[in-house]
Amino acid sequence: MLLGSRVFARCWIAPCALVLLCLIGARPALALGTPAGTPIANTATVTYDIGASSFTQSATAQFTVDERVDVVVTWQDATPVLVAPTDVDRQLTFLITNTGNGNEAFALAVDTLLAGDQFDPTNGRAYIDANGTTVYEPGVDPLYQAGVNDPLLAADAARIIFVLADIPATPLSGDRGDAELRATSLSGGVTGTIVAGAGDGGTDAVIGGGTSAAIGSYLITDLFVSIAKSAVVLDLGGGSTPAPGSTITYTLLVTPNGVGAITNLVITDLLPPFTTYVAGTLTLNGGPLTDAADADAGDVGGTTPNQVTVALGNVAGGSLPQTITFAVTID
Amino acid sequence: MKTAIALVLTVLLQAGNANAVDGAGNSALEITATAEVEIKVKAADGREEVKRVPAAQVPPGVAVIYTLKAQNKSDKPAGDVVVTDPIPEHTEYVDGSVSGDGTKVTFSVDGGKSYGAKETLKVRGEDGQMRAALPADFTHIRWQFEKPLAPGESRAVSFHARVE
Repeated sequence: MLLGSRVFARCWIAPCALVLLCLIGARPALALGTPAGTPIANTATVTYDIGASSFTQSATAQFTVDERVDVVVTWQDATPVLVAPTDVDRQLTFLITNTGNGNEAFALAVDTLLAGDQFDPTNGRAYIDANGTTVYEPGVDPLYQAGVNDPLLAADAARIIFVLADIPATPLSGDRGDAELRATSLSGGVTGTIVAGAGDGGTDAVIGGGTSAAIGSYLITDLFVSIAKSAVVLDLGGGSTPAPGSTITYTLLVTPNGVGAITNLVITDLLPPFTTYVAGTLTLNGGPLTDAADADAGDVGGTTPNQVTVALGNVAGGSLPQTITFAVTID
Repeated sequence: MKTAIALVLTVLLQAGNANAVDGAGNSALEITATAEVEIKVKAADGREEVKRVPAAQVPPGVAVIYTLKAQNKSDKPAGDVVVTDPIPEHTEYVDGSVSGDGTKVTFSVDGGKSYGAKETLKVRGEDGQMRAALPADFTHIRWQFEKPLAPGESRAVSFHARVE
């Protein structure tokens, strides 16, 4: 026990020393600005001698930190949201962040009638995320209503806002439709103005960036994958009669159609009944794949028994067709 | 009103005065501390000029100009005059902003325990290694008057600090 205690005590010395170094080395830095209403006093001291006597005097100057109103809106979807004509309630995700130094409420506005895109989404509305998820939850995330539930954010706080809109019937594949979400401080949105008494604690509100907007995009896509399957039979006599012992070589031609990206494309094919897979015959685009479920793209029976599985991953719409082949013998 | 003020700041001087008395009850130095900000004022002819007004309320990111003025109200010279000013919490010294004619300026990075020329000061960085001090590391500024302050003479020293 004694030895254990000693080791324990030694372990505590090092962390304590580290903490002390940190305290001395760095003045605390505020991430986002001194809180509104903070008094900042500065007292200067003067020492001097007159004759043989020494004196000390001091004087203080003080001011109060105003509220700076700042907001930033960003679009959160990394790429345009893929939609089809006549879709309803399609979601764009935005984040509004109060980058000022006080509590601030913001009015929201959705604009779908923007120039520079190929179609205008309709019925644009904003919903306020209620619980920190990044997917709109009907009945949980409330509809934004101006003057009723303007989101109130503390300094440095952020809130997810969903914009839902409907897609008209007319746009074509590849067309883009934009929607803008704007957040404007209820204290005022005109940069450079000072609103007397509108800040926290009765301070003035200095409008840094009182309004901010971000644009999100919908993209019409006709993405789909077509698979053409063909079979060639080779019988034991060199002909093409399907009989016991004959070999059937299947070819799957996988074609990605449309505009956009297809993610995580996996092709599966059950082996036909009364056949046996011919080991080592699985190929992708002419290159052999091992039968085991391993680092390469395909396997036979490994992922799912009695099934061919080939993972093609992320595939661009309109890219070249890919060919999968394998062979079975008839039992 | 010949001028329109583009940026309206409430003008409220909050400066402190303090006078020491010598053994005979006479005032010695008169000390005045002020905090000011610069604002742009648009004149009637449309030209903008920068004007200093007393700081009452200041938003983050704005630099405040601190000035300390000492005037000798006595009939004897004041020797060894030293002004010490902490850089207030929530503010950061603006590099190169210190001024004070006829004074020797030194800085502190340890809360006023020791002072040295700006270039010589070092602090321990986050990696544990000593590095040259940055403006944000300064905690105090000290001005040592090179000559005594003659009767009736006044002298001002100043620096800028930005509200964090």
